[in-house]
This record gives sequence, structure tokens and C-alpha cells, in this order.
Amino acid sequence: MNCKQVGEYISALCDGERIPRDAAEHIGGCKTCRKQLNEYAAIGSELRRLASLETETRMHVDWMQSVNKVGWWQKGLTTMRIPKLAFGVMLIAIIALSSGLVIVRARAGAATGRFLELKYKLPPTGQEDVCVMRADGSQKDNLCNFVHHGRDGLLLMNTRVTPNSGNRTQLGIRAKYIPGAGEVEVHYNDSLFKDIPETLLSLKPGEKQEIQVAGLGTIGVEGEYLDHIPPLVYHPQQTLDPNPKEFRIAAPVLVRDNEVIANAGGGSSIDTGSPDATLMLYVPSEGRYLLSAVPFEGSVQGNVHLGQIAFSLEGHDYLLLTSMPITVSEHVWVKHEPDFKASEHMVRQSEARDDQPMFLVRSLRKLQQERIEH
Amino acid sequence: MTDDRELWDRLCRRDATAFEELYRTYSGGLQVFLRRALGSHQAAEDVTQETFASIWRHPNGFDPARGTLPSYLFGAGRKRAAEWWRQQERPGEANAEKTVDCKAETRSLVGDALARLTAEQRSLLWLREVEGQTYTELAAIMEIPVGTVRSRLFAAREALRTIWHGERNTEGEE
Repeated sequence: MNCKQVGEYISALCDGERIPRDAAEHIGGCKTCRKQLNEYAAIGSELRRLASLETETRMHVDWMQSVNKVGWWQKGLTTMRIPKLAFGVMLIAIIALSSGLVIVRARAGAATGRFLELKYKLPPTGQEDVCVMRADGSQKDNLCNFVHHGRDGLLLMNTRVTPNSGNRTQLGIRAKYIPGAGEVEVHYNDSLFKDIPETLLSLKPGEKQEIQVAGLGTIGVEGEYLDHIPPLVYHPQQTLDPNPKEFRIAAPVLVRDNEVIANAGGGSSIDTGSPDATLMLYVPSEGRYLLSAVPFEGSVQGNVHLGQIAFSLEGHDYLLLTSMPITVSEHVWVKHEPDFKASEHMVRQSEARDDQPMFLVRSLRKLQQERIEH
Repeated sequence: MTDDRELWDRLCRRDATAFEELYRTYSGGLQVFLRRALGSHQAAEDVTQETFASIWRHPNGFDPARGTLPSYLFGAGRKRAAEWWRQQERPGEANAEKTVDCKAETRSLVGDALARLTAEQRSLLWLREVEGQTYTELAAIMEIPVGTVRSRLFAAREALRTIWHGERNTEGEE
């Protein structure tokens, strides 16, 4: 097949449709077609951005009061989240595999929806936690689940948005605290919550509500409406374009010679101030890859383009794909440490697993320490 | 799907709260879509209200087995938009760019480029990229075969890409 013949399939691929293998093979090996695909994806992203701007102009004034608020965010570093909401951005790339072609793309939900940014204040320290969910009556992406590892115990939280009533949002919250289980490994599944009674809350933007959790105390709950999906769901104040000092990763996929060797799933990690901000991507049986904003001993240079980093290492071509721009820098420096084992270096029990991929953005200095704290 | 059916059943029983819920949930997205399809903010408001008023007066035609409630609403809105164009006695595509009244803060290169596509291309792209409608849903909304959805989406993307490139190059020269 030639470029002209596969044009329609590039468009279909962009929509997540299955395409013929010979078309996939052509696209996978053709720079022009890959560029075309990325341009289609960029157009889609621009349309969604345009939609979110237009939505803003028609929103009710009560909702607007909550849109432009500023930085209350303090991410709980010990929190693991199960993302239910697709990232609001786009991209990213196609990967030619022996079995065909895969598109890695974080697709937004309807950009004109109404979203609820829910803030929890957790006892005893008042640490804040956040989730973003759809709140427009949709039964998709209207859930937020997380597991919070506290100092003395484990908190399981499950929140769903139920059909609205006027300008209030009805929430169904299931919460359970397990004392003494702070370091217990939790494999998330719905059955964790099946025996926990649901507490219903009727929430108005800006209004503070509370729920009681046995053994833990009072959790504060506060909600604000958003007119769009934030580029970083768990960092709602962040824009799509990174700031000059930012280094951030969301849902990374690492490809080596056209083979996916790590797909770290949802979630994001960000560093906003370290001059030596570095991504550590741990891959089971592969060790870890360090991708740093600064050169360091044993590293090779990689090239950054929006949400992609390309580099060659140990005779292989690598491509790191994420669902958003990573840094404003054009280069990063990469090193592979095949002997690294998460179990030997990660302080947190839940991360010290050798059989699961894991990623983290921190300063290079901290990541090179013998014991690594999240 | 079950919730769509439940909401629709309540609507058919003349439950005003169901209509309010339907309107609150979907009118915004429909209006933004219609604004792009019609190229006029005022017309989009009018057609959105006509669409919902018609559904309230005659709640029929939605079949959960054929698609989602939003798909049905977008299909109904698209038909109303087509009627509006016929009443204007001019095809939308030829002069659409002249009628788009985007506010300054919502203008963008891609928005301007979109306005230069045909009405069908604008609708297809918007419903696919912004509203996330599937090919099957698009086929039902636009009343065309699924295979045609694919080829027309490609044509729409390619047209938009060509215009967009042209506008970006022009801007760069200025």
C-alpha cells in the first residue's frame, strides 16, 4: 500500500478503529503517515480545547465562580489512585508491532461535559486529596476510587456521582479505614467496597461537607465544578504546556525496537522545581530507566518532542510515549540500570514490587540514593 | 444504557423533572455542536430550544437498542439544523465562515479552519472529536452507512488539515 491508499486508515486509526494489517505495516514504517496521524490527533485536541472554551462562555454564573480558583493542591505522596477518567489531552503515537499496529492515545471524554473536582481533607493531618469526575449525569467516568496509605492505617475511598438535583451534586461515598494496615499491599477491585455502606451527600459548589469514618474520624469533602477535563487529572491547576521548570509524566509507555516493554497505565508524576528532575521508570525484569533533565554519568542524550522522548541505548532504539508534553527542554539524558530491583531500593512497601512497572519523577539526587522514598 | 432508558421512560410519562435533567445534562453540548454546525450563536440557541421543545411535545423515536440518548439528541438536533438551513435558503457551507460569530477569546486557527468545511464535515468532526461519538452512533446521527462515516471523516480531517496548514503558513508570513 502507498501513502494515498492508507490515508483513510490513518483517520480510522486515529479513532481507535481496527485497520488492515498491510495498512498498519505501511503506517508503522512511514514517517509521512505518522506525521499525518499526529496532525489528525493535534486537530482533535485543538477542537476539544475550542469546545471547552465555548462551554465556558455558556456556563451558569454559579459554576463559573469555581473555575478560576488557585492552588490549593498538595498531592498526598503516599496515595495510589485508580484513574477512572481518561486524560483530557491526546496524542500520542503509533507503535508498529509484529501483530499489527497499536495506537496509544489518551482520549478525552466529551469535552463539553461538566466535571466535578472533589477535594477531601483527611484526618488527622488535614492532608488534601483530589479527584476529578464527570458530574453531568453521565454514567461513564463518574467514579473516583483511591487507596490512601496513612502512617497508621489504610483508607479505602470510593465515590460516585449520582444524578444531579439542580445546582447540587449528589455523591455516594463508601469509605473504610483499616488500622495498622498502612503498608499492606492492596490490589484494587470493586469487591473491596461491597460490604461498606454508602453515605449520600448533597454537595453544592464551595460548600463543605463531612463524613464520618469509623476508626479514622471526620473527612472533609468539598467540590467545585470545572468546565473541562484538566490536562493532568490529578493536578487540575496545571496547564497542557509545561512550565520552564516542570518535568512531568503521565501514563508512560516505553517502546524498544517496536516492542512495548512497559505500559505503566494511568496516573501521573510531576516535579516543578528540581533542576535535576528525573523520571525513573521501573520495568520488571528490565531494571530501571532514568531520564533526566541534566546530563549525568553514564547517560546518553535523548530527544524530546512534545509527549515523546526518543533515544538509542545499548544498540536499541527506544521511544517513550506519554499523553502530554513532558518538558520544554529539547533533550534529556538517559541511563539504563538493568540490575536495579524495586524490592531492594523502594522504601514504600507498595512500590517495592519487582513484578510491576512503576514510575516516579523526583530529583536525580534522590533517585540515586540507596533507599528511595516516594 | 439502562439510565438512558429510564430517563426516557420518565420523559414519556410527562415527568418534568426528567425533562429538566435531560436538558441540563445535554443542552450545553448540543448547543455548542449546533453553533459549529450553524455558524451562529443565536441560531444554535434557537435550534437547541426547538429540539428540546419538540422532544417534550412528542417524545418518540429514541430506541436504546439503536444508540445512546446523546446520539439520538444530536441526530434530532442535526435534522433541525438542516431545516434551519433550508429556511435560510442557502447552503451552510458556502458562507459559513462569514456567519461564524465566535467571540474573540474563543477564536482559534482550528476554529476558523473548521468554519470553512462543509456543514456535514463540521458536524462529523465535532461529534467524533469533541463528543466522542462512535462510528455506529455517527452513522445513526448522520443517516449514512458506517463505511461512509469512515471515508467522510477522513475527507473532513484532510480538508481541515489542508486549510489549517495554509492558515498557519499565512500567519507565519505576516
